[in-house]
Amino acid sequence: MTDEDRLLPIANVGRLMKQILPSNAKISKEAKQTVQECATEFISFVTCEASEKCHRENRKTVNGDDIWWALSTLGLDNYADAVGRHLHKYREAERERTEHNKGSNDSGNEKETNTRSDVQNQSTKFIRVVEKGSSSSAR
Amino acid sequence: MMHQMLNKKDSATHSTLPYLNTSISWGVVPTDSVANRRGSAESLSLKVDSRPGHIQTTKQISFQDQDSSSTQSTGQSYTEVASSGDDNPSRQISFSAKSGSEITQRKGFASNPKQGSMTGFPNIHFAPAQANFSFHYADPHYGGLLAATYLPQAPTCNPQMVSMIPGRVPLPAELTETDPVFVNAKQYHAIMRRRQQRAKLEAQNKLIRARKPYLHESRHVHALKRPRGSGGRFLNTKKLLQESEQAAAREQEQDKLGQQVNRKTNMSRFEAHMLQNNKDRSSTTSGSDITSVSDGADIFGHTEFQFSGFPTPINRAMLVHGQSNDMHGGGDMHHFSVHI
Repeated sequence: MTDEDRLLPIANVGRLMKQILPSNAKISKEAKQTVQECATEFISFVTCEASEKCHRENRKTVNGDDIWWALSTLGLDNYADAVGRHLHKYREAERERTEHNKGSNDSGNEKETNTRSDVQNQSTKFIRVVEKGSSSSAR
Repeated sequence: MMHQMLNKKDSATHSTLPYLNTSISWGVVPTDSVANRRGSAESLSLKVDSRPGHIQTTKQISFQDQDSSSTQSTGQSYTEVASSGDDNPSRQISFSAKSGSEITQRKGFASNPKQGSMTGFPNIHFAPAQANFSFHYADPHYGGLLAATYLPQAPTCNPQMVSMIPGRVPLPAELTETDPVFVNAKQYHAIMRRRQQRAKLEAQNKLIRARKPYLHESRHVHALKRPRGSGGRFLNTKKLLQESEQAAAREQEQDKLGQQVNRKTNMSRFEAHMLQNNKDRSSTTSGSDITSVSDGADIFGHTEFQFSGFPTPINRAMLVHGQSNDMHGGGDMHHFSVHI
């Protein structure tokens, strides 16, 4: 609960906003703060739905599938499609890494690799969601 | 020529910033600042008549535009440090010159006539104008602080999607005081649950209402201590070494080759005199003769004063002041005599 009032880093939000706009555009600090709050609330909205489902099914870990399910349940079909495709690509990459590690016959290395890629996956997913939000607002 | 020398002077003065943190004073009353701003504007409007001032205006405008665009694109916010000299009039003069240049750079966001009036300031040195500028410089930061504190925190709106399904459910008007808001039926329960969570967090006072200007105190203090170059940006390691070497070289040159420095000063003054005022050759020659005599006395006086028990950074500031005085004194004969 103590992390609920956390906000996304404003520098990254500004950078993502700049990627969508033309090169000579300028973004005021108030605009960045507003988008920062909107993006944070959107993420909380989706993860709250996913967490509720995990709570009902007596699970403690929120998976990518749960995020995808939450997006589709809330009627955010465009985001659900994007997240689904990204999740599919990620799992394919994960299988390739697993096969490569099995070829080297090192189980410890395999576990370590899985942990690292898991962390990277989470950060990538959040950035992707925020980016989709920005592109949607630009349209 | 003049512009380059001004830039060098500004960079030299900025290099001494970390040593002047102790003399920061933010105690400016808003009413006084408003009055000073008006006074400074009126005084400045009278000084934008000469042609060289106009030329400098053009150059300054182009420089400021680039700076403003780059600063906004990076999205950084620089901490502005202002210092008002209290004891030493010569120190006060040097600081006011620096603050004038910074005001000129910051005013790039304002309209053109203000920029023109600001660029006209470095050419003329008057005690009341300097006092006005010292107050006027502190005001923008104070205004910025006020704006930051009173910035309205707009409440986060719930996401409203245009639903493809024709059925839309009206939300209860408990939180929304105006008309009922229609949302996607699929999101109704999630929105209500999310509202309850937010209400719970507000009850526990965990939501961030007032935004902090920085997250970590130690990082903020470190950023304040870092040396800044002209324009207020941080100096990287290479530039720091270059500036320290330049300062040492200047001190050595002034110690060893006093006469040559004197000659160089006269030549630079002669050029400044030619640029600023288009006068006859006879008057120019007489002006240079008179100023050279007083200039020699002034330099020696300043040198003696510098070595009479002051730490090194203040000595550097005094050196910068001496240079600025030599540059601007030649422009106006009457002003120079009155100043002495």
